[in-house]
Amino acid sequence: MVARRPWEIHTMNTDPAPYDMPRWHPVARSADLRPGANIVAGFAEGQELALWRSADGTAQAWDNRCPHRSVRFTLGQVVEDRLACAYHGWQYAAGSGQCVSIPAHPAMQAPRNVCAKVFGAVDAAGMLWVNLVAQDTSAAPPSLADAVPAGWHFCRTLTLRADAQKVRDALAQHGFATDAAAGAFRGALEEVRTIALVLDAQPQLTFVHLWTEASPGSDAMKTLRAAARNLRSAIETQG
Amino acid sequence: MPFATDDSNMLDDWLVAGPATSLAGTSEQQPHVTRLLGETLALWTDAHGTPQCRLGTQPLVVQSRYGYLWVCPSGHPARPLFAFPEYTEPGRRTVDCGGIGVAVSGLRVIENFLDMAHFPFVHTDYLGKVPHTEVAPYKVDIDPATNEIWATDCRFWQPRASAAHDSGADVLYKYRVMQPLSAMLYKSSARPGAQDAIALFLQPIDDEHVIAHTMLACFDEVSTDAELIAFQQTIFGQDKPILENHAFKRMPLEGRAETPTRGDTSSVTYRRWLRERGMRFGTRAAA
Repeated sequence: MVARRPWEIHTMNTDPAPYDMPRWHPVARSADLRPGANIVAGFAEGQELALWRSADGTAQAWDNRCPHRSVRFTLGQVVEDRLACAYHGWQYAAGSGQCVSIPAHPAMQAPRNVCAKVFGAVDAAGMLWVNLVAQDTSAAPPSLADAVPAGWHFCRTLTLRADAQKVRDALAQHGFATDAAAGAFRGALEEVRTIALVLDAQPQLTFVHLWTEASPGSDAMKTLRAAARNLRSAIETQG
Repeated sequence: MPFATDDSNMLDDWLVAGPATSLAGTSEQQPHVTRLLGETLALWTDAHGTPQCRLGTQPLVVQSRYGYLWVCPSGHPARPLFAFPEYTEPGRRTVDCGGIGVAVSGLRVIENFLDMAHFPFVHTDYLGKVPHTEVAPYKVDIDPATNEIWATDCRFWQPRASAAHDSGADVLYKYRVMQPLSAMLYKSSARPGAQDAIALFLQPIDDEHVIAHTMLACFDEVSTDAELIAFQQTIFGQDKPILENHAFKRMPLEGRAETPTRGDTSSVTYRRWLRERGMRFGTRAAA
């Protein structure tokens, strides 16, 4: 029933739940991050993330905390292939997270031990996926690319005040089924074919990225939006 | 004790509880109400004009100094209130710049107050400007008589150093930490050879919230009170979003959670000074 996945080889996973694995989390829509421009706040399993792209477009997912005084990186700015902290302007290099500039001491080389915490991040199927364990993006399963069929459209991201497990159970009850692609739920809401990508943001906070074959502006898309709101209400009000 | 902490650094010291002007028109029946260490205090002036304070039915020790009310939660202050001679020095204007709530440990607020390296980035075009980012070496000492921290010989290039300055200048600073949550800075003033004093007194609401009270004692004879207050509030308004975005609202005093650099001598000394006095209020336990 479930295809064998390469990242399961090293685990002794006896839990039948197909989504209990070292997970690639769908943290944001790829299009929301512009190369060398903005920083987006993200969450995965309680970990706060600063998401951005270097000028060449490479995705970055960092612990949202400057090693100097713990100010959130999301207040900072992207300078070409570096992230600059808003507090003291310390700059950190894309990829390694290594500090490369401390403006208070322009002549001094930044110490090697000053380094942002970096997580693995890959773009696939229109989403940015983050792994909190593996920094090596080559470990990302090729099946991520199949999470959303080509030509489908983004509908919206639903925010739910509920644990991710409760959301997954609710989707299953609505006839959604997970396939091999990192916990993507395939199904329909009000007969509109939909894929729901579930992000375990933190306890009692789950994001669901909804993709659909319905076209932007179509009646089917409107139907899906309304159905998504109803689904959220149903999940948040139940027990 | 009913308070939100049992840290004697807080209970046995004088803590600011708001400006003295808040007692105007108060009485025991209609007191001024404010928050301190997780509790609600009632403050008023009695028939003799003496400030009084109560937590529920329990009277607390209170005194009015330097334009503010100071409460000792335990009633057993370990030391007298620090000296602030500039407050009454002839020729100086004193201006209460108001109290601003900040959702972070007060220790972070004091550390920010002592820090020059953030001027070009947080107070751009006011207290600093890229590329003038270098922090030159300065001295940090602890006065053995008072146990206060002094940072001296501090200098920083500023595009607009105060409400009275409208062009760039190298500005001289001195900093002084009197209590874990009280500090002063002295900087070049409009009067040659004299320095303006800016006091920062933090009212601890709990481990992660303070009300920051700022008092000027300056030589400016040009600016109006409103202009001086607006300048201070602009500066503080630039710090507030940074302060409220520390991933750890409480300050780590030990371990490797945060990495200082050379110009952070004031901060490093302040953290060590807090560690040596066993500070727990507003601190983050080592991971």
